[in-house]
Amino acid sequence: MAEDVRDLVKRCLAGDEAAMVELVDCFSGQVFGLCYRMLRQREDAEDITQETFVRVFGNLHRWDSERDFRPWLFAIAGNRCRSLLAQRMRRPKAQDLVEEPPDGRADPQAARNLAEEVSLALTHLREEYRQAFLLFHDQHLSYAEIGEVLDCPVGTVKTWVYRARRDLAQHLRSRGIVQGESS
Amino acid sequence: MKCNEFEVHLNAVLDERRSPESDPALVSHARACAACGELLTTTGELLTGVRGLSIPELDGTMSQRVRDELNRETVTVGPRYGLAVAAVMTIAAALLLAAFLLPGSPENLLPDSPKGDVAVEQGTAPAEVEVAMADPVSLDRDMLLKLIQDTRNNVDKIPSLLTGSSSPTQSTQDTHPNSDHDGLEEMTESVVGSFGFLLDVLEEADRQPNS
Repeated sequence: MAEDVRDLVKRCLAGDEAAMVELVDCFSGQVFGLCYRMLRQREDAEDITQETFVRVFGNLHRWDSERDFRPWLFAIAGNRCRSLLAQRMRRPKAQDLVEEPPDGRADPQAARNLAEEVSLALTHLREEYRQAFLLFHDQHLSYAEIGEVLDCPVGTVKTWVYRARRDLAQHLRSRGIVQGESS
Repeated sequence: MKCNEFEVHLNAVLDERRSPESDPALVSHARACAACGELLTTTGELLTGVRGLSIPELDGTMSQRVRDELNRETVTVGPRYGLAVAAVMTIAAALLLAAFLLPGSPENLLPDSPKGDVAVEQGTAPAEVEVAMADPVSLDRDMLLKLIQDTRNNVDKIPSLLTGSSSPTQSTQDTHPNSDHDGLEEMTESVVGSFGFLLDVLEEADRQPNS
């Protein structure tokens, strides 16, 4: 896989358009997933995915082929997402919250759906905990890769993931979602 | 296994992406301890819930979108960078030309054309000093030096001016390898290098009459 990517990059650098399409097709799903998990907004995630690849092709000659391609790619995507999130913080818009999951308290039927409950619980987490948790458990990035994406040390990422698990589990218990032995 | 060890071990298992419910040590302790049993169950449910989270499907047009954007940037950004390069290089060339053509340039500072400051240090007649100080040629040279110094002092602002970005935060973020400013910064550094060389030549010429 790593060799395939190196060949693909080499062809892209030589101006092979088919290779560029192949590179986008190969990684766009993962990049979009990462952006969607960070931004929680489909259109923004698509735009940042596109922007990421434009930047990738503009800086492909800077990629160190001795290193893995994916962390480099994800670092660019993560950087763009963080820039957009910072912009949102400065100019909060109602549409940023459009895709939040429905509140189970208002709709008891939704509480039966575990994924929706987890989704709801995630909205109560601190932003960095939520991102680190989802990048690890949902996007299956390594701690080192998450560190690159979120621009923080691996130890910090581990702490955030641990705290996210703890808080989520606590939230699920408080909602009576889990029928534990004590309940 | 104690309860605190259970939690540590549970996290280690999760970090290794293994299923906690299939770890014998965890299961064994969870059977004997209600609180840890609940934690194990909750964690299992949590992971099941995460697997059920959905991500909207990305349509197949992303490569086309990227290609269109790259083509658009080639058309719109290309000339802007071209103009920027042309402008900076023209300024640099003009300065270099001025340094060597204007009276008061390094050739004219050689020992056979003494200046006012040299005259003062060497104790020559006050009349000569006055002539040298009033010499418009010296002013031109000083202006040139000042221009170069100012350019060097403010050169870090050139990329922001050319790309229309004024935010210091943005500038910090763009030290990242995927920065738009990188090319301009390299170009600017190159011009600064030229200015530095020119300045060194002039300063060296300043020192020569004393040596």
